[in-house]
Amino acid sequence: MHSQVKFPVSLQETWAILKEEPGAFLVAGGTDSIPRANQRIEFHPLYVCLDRVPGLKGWSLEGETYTIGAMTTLVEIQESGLDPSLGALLQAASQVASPQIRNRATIGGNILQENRCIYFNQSVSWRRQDCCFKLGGNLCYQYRGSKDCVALFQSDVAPALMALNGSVVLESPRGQRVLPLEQIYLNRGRNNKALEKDEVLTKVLIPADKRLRSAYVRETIRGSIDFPLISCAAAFWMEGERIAQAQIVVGCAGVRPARAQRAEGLLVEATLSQVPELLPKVVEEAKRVIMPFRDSRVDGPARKTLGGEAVRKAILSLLAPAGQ
Amino acid sequence: MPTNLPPLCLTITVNGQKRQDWIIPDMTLLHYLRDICGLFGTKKACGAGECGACTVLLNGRPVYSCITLAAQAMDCQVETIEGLGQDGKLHPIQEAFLECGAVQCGFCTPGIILTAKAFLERNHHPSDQEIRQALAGNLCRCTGYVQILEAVKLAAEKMYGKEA
Repeated sequence: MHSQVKFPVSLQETWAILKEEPGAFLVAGGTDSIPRANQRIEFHPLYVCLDRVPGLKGWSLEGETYTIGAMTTLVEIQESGLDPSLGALLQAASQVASPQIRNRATIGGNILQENRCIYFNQSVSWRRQDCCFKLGGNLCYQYRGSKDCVALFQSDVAPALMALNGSVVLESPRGQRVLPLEQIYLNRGRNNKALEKDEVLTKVLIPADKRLRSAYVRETIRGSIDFPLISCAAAFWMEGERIAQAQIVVGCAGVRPARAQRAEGLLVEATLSQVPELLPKVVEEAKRVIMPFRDSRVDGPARKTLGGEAVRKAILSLLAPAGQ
Repeated sequence: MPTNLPPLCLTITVNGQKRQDWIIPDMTLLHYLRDICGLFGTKKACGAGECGACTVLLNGRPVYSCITLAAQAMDCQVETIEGLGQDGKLHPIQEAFLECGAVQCGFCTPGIILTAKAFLERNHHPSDQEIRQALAGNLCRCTGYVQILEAVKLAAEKMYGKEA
C-alpha cells in the first residue's frame, strides 16, 4: 500500500484537501509519523506536507509575546538566540532525540506527536491476537485493567511550553482560535488532542516576562535518541529574591503532561534561599502526579523515582544567580 | 509493491548534479537514493530514525533519509557519501577515518562521516564533548567510538589546522 503526497501552498488549499479527503494526514517534519508508516504500524492514504505553506517558520517578539511558527525546526529553536528566560524551551528543544531528528522535527509536530506505548509502538509481528484500545480492541497492555488507552505522551517541548504558559494558534476555515497548551491535551492515550479535523496548528505563543526563569530536565537511559522516561519543566516568576509564581510540569507523567499544582503552592512566596529546605516536600508532592504506568524500558516505580530526580534537578538549576 | 497512484515528479540536486525523476509519491529519500540514483553508500538499517546509517546532508544539515520522504527534499541539495571524494581522492574526513582505524564493518561509516562533515563545517575546533554530542545520532556496533572520536579530531586538524 502506498500513500499519495500533496504539498499545498496555502492554508486555504490545505483546508480544501482536508475537507475533500477523509484519509488526509498532516505532516510537518515527519519524524514522528514516517517511522510508524515504515514499521507498518499505521497507514495514511494521503500525506499533506506543510513544507510549502508560507508564514509557518521563524520566530518574533511582538509586544509582550513571543510568536514561534509551527514549522520552525527544533534546531532552529536551539540556535535561535531566544531569551534565556525561555531556558526550559531551549533546553527541551536541544535534547529531543538526536541532531538528525532535530534538523527535521518541528515545534508544532512535537506538540502534536502521538502518544506511545509498549504494545502499539512495536513491530506488527510482535503483537498479540487481542487488540489494544488503540487498535480497536478493549484492553490496554500498558496498564492492565485500565478502561481506556493510557499510552504515554513523551514530548519534551510540550511540558516546557506548558510551564511557560504557552498557547497555540489553531486556524481553520472558520477563523482562528487561541488555546492554552494545557487545554489541547485530553485525558486519554489515543486521539487525545482537542483539535478539529480541519484545524492547523500554525503558531506557538509564549508570554514574555522579565521576571521569568525556567529550566527543563529529562531522564533517559541513553544520552541521546531516546524518548524521555520522565521529565520536568520548572518556571519561577521572581520578585526580587521572592518567588511570586511557580509552575512545575511533569512530562511523560501519563497520557498528558501534568501540572504539579500542590508542589507549586509550596514554593510560592518562598525566597530562593528557602527552596533547598522545601525541596524534599516539593519533590514528594510533584511525584504524586506521575501515573504508575510502565514504559518499554523501565517499570512504573522506577519512572516515579526518576521523576522525583528530574523535579529536584530542574528546581535546583533555577537557584543559580540570574545571568550566570 | 505495485501501485496505481500517479507518480510524482521530483526535482532535486544530488551531489551537485541536478536531477528530475518520476517517483512513487511516498518513497523515502533513502529508497530514492539507493533504488533510483543507484547510490548504495547510504545504508538502510533500522528504518525508524534511530541508528543513523542512512544519514545524508539535506541543504547541509544531517538528516535520517529513511524517515524523510523524497518528496520533502524537492528542490533541495542532497549530499551523500559518494559526493565527498573528488577526482579519485578521498575527503580529509575519509582519510582520517582510515588512518585512525575508525572503520570496522563500515556500515555506519558513511552516515558518521556525513554527520561529521556538517558538524566540522560549523565548528572547526571542537572539543571531545562537542564531537560526542554531534555524533549522538549515529550508532556504531563495532569500534566502540573511541577511534571515531579520534578520527573526527584528526579530520578537524587536517581541514582547519590546529587551534591557535
